[in-house]
Amino acid sequence: MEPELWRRIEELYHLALELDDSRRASFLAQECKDNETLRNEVESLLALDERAERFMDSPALEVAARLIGNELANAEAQENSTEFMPIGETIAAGSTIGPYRLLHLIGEGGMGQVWLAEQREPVRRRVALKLIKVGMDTREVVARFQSERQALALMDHPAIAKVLDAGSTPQGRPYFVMEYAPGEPITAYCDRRKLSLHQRLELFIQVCEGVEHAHQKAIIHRDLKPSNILVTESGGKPMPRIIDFGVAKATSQQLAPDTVFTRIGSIVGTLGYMSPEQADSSGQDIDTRSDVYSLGAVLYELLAGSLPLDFRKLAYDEILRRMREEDPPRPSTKVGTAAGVSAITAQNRGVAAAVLVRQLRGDADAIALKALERDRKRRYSTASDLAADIQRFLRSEPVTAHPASAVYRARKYIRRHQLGVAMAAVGVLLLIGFAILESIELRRLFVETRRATAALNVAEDQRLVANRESARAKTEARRAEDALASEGRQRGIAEQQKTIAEQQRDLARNQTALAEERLADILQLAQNSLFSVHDSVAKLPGSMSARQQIVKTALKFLERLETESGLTDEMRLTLAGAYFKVSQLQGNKRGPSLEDFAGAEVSLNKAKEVLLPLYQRKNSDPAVMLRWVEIQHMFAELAQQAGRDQDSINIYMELLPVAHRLAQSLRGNFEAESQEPDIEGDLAQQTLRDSRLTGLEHAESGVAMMRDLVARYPNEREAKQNLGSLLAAEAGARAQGSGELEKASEEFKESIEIREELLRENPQDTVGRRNLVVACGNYAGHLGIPYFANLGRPAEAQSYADRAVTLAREEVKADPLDANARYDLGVALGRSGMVEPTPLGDNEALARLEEAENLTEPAVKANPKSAGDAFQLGLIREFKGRRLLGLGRTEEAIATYRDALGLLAPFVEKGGAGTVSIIVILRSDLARVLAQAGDYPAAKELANEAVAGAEKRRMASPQEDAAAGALARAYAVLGFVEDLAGDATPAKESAQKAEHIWQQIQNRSVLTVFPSVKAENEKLLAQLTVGQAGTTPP
Amino acid sequence: MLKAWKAGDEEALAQLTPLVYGELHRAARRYMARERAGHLLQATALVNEVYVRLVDCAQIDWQDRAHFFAVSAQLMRRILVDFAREREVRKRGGGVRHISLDEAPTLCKESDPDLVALDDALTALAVIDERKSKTVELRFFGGLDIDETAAVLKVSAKTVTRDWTLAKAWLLRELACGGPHGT
Repeated sequence: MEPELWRRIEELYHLALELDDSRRASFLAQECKDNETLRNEVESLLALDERAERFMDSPALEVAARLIGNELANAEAQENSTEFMPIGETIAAGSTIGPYRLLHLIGEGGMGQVWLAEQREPVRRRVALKLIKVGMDTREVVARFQSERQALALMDHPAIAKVLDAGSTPQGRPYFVMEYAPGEPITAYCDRRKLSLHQRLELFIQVCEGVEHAHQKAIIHRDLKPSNILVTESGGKPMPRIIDFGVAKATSQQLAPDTVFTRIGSIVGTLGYMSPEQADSSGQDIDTRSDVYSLGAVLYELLAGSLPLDFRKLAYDEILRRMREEDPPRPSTKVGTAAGVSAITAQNRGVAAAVLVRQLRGDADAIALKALERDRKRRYSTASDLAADIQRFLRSEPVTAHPASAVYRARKYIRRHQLGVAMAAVGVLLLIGFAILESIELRRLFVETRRATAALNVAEDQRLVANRESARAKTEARRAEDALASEGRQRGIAEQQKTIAEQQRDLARNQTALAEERLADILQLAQNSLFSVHDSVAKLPGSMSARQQIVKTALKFLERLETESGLTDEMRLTLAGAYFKVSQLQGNKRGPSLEDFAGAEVSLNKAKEVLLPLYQRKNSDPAVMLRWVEIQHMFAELAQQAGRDQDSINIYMELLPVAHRLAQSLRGNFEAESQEPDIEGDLAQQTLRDSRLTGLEHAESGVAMMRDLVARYPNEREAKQNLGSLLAAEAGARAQGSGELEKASEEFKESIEIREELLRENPQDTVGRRNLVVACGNYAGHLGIPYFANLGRPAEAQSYADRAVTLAREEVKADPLDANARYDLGVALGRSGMVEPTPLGDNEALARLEEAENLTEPAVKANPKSAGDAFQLGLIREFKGRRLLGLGRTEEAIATYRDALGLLAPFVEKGGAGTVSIIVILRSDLARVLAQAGDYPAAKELANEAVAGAEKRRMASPQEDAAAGALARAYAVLGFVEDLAGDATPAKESAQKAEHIWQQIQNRSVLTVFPSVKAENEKLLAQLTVGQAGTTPP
Repeated sequence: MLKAWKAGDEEALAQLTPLVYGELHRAARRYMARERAGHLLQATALVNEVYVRLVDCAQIDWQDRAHFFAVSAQLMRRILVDFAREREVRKRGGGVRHISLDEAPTLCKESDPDLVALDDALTALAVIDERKSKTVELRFFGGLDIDETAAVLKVSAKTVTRDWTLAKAWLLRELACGGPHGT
């Protein structure tokens, strides 16, 4: 169609739509004068009118869902109608069928029930009796059942549960009898007996042989998994038995709703063993290779201890990665990286973890992966091929499992990078939607339970029975003998109805319990999906704003779940965890966050509220402890953020023993074991401000613990990261506290190296980069910024400071919305301008400091209570003042100092050592400048205030030499001021006091702080002692 | 994060489709198994709602977001149409036996379109007017509302409404009458 025509059609259509019917015709006649085509088009479109409005009013998703629903409704009515129970036949524990006495129900499949029964003749033994489910009595179903039975009867292999007998009940329900295979799932058996790799493979080969046997009889199992491969011992030797052959096949329609009331864990567990072609519900032409895949999955688990993908345990970004990459991780890799689990896995195979990895690497890996190939042409085509390759492996012969050829690999590589996060979002929605659907189902379950109970009462009603009977008779018209018999049955009807209703009620009760457990699983799954999207998103730059929406959605979702039903312990735990994660999203100090600290506290309180009753009851349960520690830890962080430092410290101190107990009881779990050193690290940071030595103790303790963890968990990035932080804290504490500058320098360097390495490995990691920025900035201070005890190496200091600036600029570029990034850049720039003597020259240094000021101001405005932030800005201004003075811009310098002091005013009384000391220095410097400008009264007042402040600090920490140094300097400056003002005697006193204090200082590193002051003081003292008034200007 | 991902990527769609499809099928199937007419709509509406909210990240760069929605809607379309297609194949004799029962509830609404035919019609529409086709894709398959669609396509809400109205009429005509001259 020509565009012009279409445009016209569109135009006219809309215009005509606005007119009412009567006028449309004439309007169109007019507009379409000579153009029949045009008129036809528009008229035909208009003609549909209301129908068009209703068209597509529900989204495609619903349409599809209804299609599915229709199918199912049909199938279900056909197969599973419980309205049409054959009354009069009760199959229950105790019933007898032929020589078999039913003991109890083992399980229920799509079409049949499986009972444990006791055979009386000709031998006494236990058997499994499979019966068509009540209500299924169409010919077609029976035929299928028979064919399954026949197929099974053809099989005769030690590894397959044998068919012993078959028949039908007096009521005509067919059944067959199989060997009863008690025993445990193969994976559990191997773990319990701690079978070695070799032993497991030998056992597995037997399983393959059994499967091969079935395949040769053209029977595909379709549902191979450990719970269908049971192992018993006979004469000390393990014997595998495959059960449930033919169940899946006979119920071939994938619509059989036989998994509704199973735990979500087993649903997704089955997913893990299901071949890709089965999972793709087009479901046609499944062949024997599908079983091979399932065998591969079982093999993998036997080798590596878990499936390549376990939906429940994995975070969502792992699921993502699997979607992206086609290869499951090699078993050897899986063992190596499953932190904490690897030890147990190895133990269950009777070897050390490193040995296990070696055993698996190479051929064993290749075999497992070949069996798990997504493309079934590349798998082993038969179970016996798989077994053969395993045999070769056991005999140390070369195996046939080849790695992918170069061409194939190239294609896979291309595919690997093409899936994006957007696709994952769709996946996540489905998981969440699934979870919501399931939770709705739970509610319905309650309703059904009640209904079943009500049915008990109704059972007494004969009228209902009569109705049923007549309805039933209609469909059972063919069965003349039953119609006759039904009369007789009616007498016992009320009785039997009652029994059946009772059974239903019990079943519903069981299912409720199951469903409750399932809800906890759902919470877990939802949490993993939802929040681990966040985790993976959190580490990427440019994602700050996305999280706000996620948080809103998440909170709504959590609330909905919380009100869904009463909370069991497991659910409590999970829910508390979910709230905790949300609060991290809102206000995580360590990484990108929304900075919604108020919101974070609310969520955190929610988490605590949910957890508290559980914690009070079970405070030595490791999982509970861990959650508690996490929550309290964050409370402490938030308190610190809000400036409530002492609260923060208190929480930490209380938490330390709990964290210690936790580490003891969950050895092998990194998350649990890392809490204690983390807390020590935080304590180090906190106490550092007040008492450098206490800070150092905590830092050292934390470092020692963390080194141990790094050694024991070599694959945990976080361990290295934390070690980096702790080392930095240790270095800082040591430098400022104990004065061992060189040793501290080494620690700094180590910390920086660790962080550089981590950053190289993960260039996208914003948290890692941020840590490095901070580390370089601090080290620069340590090397050559005279505010700190320093080594006097300005060139080195500058280079580290510049590195910090470079990194910080990258941070900002990556996410311009991230407030933390801009703050970091500010601090880094500040450091780069503070090196003395400045290699940059005063102008450049000043420019940097000014930029620094601009960048850090917003943070201080946002957190007016945060002493730490105020301190940084104060420090920047102090040095800005110095540079200004160096350039002769005195007035500006004065203004700067005043600004700084104004900003820090709230902290005069209750600031920590850091803020107090910067206030002292600012006052001193300002006093001095004012004195030089001739404003003596103001100068003296300030200088005295400075001394007072320093005295206070000194009294608070008499041990601390840094405080002494600060006091000395304050006195010295007081002396300068008094000298300038012409008060020679007080000046001399002050100078002497200063000198006296300096001499007493043991920690000589303190003298590297603003060293010129001491030198000047000595000069002044000398002059005054000789009796000269006036001083040389500084 | 969306920057890493390119548009209209056949390979990617092909890869994800079976997985998402399977998941969708399983989820809906499990739910449907116990459901009767009434609650049906709520469930799927819920899923839609979650979908939209989850991905409604207001401040992501527009270009990326538009991209994302466009492809997700495409994805949905493919999946659902394939599903409908396969079902049709089965119905015509690939195995499912139909036993009509009085009690079997009919769940399909009168106005449920045949997805396969709709897909074909939509493809035809795209030749004439791509924007309208995209509109339908986003709204019907992607589940977006008028405003969201407007944002993605970078047009006004009014334009979307008009496009939607005309597109629906056009498609319905194709499906119902086979064209401007059918009966």
